Amino acid sequence: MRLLKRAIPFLATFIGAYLIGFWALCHLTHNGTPLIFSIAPELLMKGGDTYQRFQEFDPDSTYDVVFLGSSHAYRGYDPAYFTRHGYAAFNLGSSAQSQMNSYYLLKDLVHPGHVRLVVLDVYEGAMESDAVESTSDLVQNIPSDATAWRMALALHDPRGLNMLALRYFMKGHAPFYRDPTYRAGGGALRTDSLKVPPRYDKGRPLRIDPLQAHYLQRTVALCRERNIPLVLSEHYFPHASDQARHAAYTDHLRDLVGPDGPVLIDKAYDHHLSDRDHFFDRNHLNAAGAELFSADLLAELQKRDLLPTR
Amino acid sequence: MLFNSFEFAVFFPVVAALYFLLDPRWRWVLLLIASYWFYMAWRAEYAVLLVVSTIVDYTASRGIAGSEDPRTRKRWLLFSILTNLGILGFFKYFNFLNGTLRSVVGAAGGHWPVQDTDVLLPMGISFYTFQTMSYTIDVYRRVLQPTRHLGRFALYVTFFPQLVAGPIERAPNLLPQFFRDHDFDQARVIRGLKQMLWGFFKKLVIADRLGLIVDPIYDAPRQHDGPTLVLATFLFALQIYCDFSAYSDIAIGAARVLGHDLMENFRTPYLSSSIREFWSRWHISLSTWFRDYLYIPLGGNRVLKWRWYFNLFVVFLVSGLWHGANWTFVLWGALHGAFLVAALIFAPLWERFNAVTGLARRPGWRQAVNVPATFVLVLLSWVLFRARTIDAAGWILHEMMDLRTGLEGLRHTLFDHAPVMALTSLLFAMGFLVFDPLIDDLVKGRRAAPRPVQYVFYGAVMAACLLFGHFGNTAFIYFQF
Repeated sequence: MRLLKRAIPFLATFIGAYLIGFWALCHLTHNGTPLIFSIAPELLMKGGDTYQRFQEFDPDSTYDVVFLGSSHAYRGYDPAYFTRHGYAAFNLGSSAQSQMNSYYLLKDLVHPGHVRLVVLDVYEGAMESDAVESTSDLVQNIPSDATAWRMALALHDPRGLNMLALRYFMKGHAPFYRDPTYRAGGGALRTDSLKVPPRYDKGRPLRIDPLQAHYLQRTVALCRERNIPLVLSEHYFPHASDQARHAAYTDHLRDLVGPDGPVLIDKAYDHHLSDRDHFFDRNHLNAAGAELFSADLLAELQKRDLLPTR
Repeated sequence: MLFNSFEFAVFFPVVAALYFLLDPRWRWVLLLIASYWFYMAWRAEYAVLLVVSTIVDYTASRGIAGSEDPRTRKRWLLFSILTNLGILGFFKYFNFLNGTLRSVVGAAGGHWPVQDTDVLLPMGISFYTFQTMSYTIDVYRRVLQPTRHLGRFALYVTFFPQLVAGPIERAPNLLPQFFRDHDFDQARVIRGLKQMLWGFFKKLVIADRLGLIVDPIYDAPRQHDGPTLVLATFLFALQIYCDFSAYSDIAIGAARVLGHDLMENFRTPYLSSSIREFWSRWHISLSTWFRDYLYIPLGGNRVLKWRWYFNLFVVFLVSGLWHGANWTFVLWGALHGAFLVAALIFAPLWERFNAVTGLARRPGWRQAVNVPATFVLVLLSWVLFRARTIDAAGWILHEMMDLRTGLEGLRHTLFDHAPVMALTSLLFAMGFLVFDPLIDDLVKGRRAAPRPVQYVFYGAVMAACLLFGHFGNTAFIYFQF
């Protein structure tokens, strides 16, 4: 009891010092940018395509298909293509989105009965991520406080607390920047392409983060429980990238979700695109590539009766 | 498990709470399970080495105590030493030795057929093998009666706060504490928590932030000029001190919360006025280990002068090798040995210099000369410690002497990419350097402060950890040893 009595003034001083320090770092600027972003590089600014996407998304609307995943999802899956072909589609992908983030977005924003199909991009980089970057981005930009708290706490990292503090200190602040590549429906497509084929570091060992593997399994279980069909998908990769690593990854993925798991559509090397003309960097599709991939994916979903033919 | 991880933030309060809730008779069981859990969170299979070390030294010490025959006693001692050094040698030095032999044979035009192994260096192996060996040697020297209690002895080998990076404890200090009851003592718990908090501050806010500046420079030293390398070396001196002493503070604080006292491992070493004093303030548990179990058995200073110098030099050479299986560490140790021997040889000359210049009559002035001079020598030696190869170290030392390039490179390295980050790291480092002696006394209970001041100080320290800490489970530098 005496220990508790001494802990209270200490905790009060700590919280006071923390809040004053945070407030000061949010208000003092260097070159027009609050110092907090220089002091804690893991904290990301409010704004960009994630902000625009979640401002536009209406969880109460009905969608034929919702895409989730990292930048592979919002750069490579073009919801506008699906819309043009008669499907209500929205892309909820976000920068470096990990399985943990996808799980909470699905849990809180994708209501049963409102979404007919979820396509989750399972790029291996997102499965190897510690989720700090993606959580930081989402905590600043998603409208739901509850989802922001869930993600920040699921990080199991003190940086999650800083992300939440920043969210509240920046609550009334306008977004710091906008993404010019953002398009209605959540996609963000780039029109530039690689001029020189990149070199790939082949033979890098796979390091799947156990937490992300755990959340992928939870996502599969959640969709099953809510009766929402789930498709795991991999978009086109440049042919020159590490094909052996990808094969090992998909084997691991199949083991992870089990024989009764969701459909896995792996288009990584099942294409005739040019590594130079259809990608804007080492592994992201540009608008031309995204158009071709989206057409291929739609045909595949129709063939498998996951989306009705329209 | 790292101290600066989420797992430890859950693990430690749970263990501490269970420890005080449990019947005192069974607390050692909890600590033993917790210690194995702590170690196995890194690599479960390497716990086998802890078991082997425990059984070997328990058996050897019982064998020694059970016999009056000097030959039998010596055989048991050799069994312990050879097993411990054998494990250490295989896991830590096999590839180093093999690589050296391959180079030598290759240089002579031959072919060395033995391949390197790809085993991982077991975490903390240099620390716990030295701790267990000291137990058996103490029993052999009749300084200590061996314990019959295998469980409590196993806890002495594996006690989690100091298992991975020390302090390297001695059985006469630590082992009896596992036989005592430790009631919950609020003052003690608070003191332990304060020391832990200060350790976290040093690790997260100073050491790891300085690492962000130092590491890129030392990873590509040829891309930097003299002044930048001087600054990087200076910051590395602070980084390694904060990193290692942070581990010791967290270890000592955690043990104190659980009612146990570990030995002090650092005493503001950069305030030393000689290399000899530096080693009585830096990694004290290792220095005293080498003094008691290598230097004195070699004859210490009770021998001819040349032999005394030789003994000193050998001890530091071995100490260098203990730090890492790389010629840079061996040279680092040799350099410190050379400094000490040189200090002994030139002591009369130095005394005469002090007398002539009047420094002998002004201890304050002498201190003002000796402390920076010692620091510069330590700084130069850190180049060997931090550089990846001897070639790189040579190049860095050469460039550090050439300061004609001006400060443009330094300005570019520090302030062109992340100026705010660099500036805050430097401010924290300089603040630490100035206030370390004062805070060290406060944290270790040698100096008192009014309670409100303490609330403000520790509250601000904790807030600074959260606001300015560099998180991301960065391992402590001494884990690699």
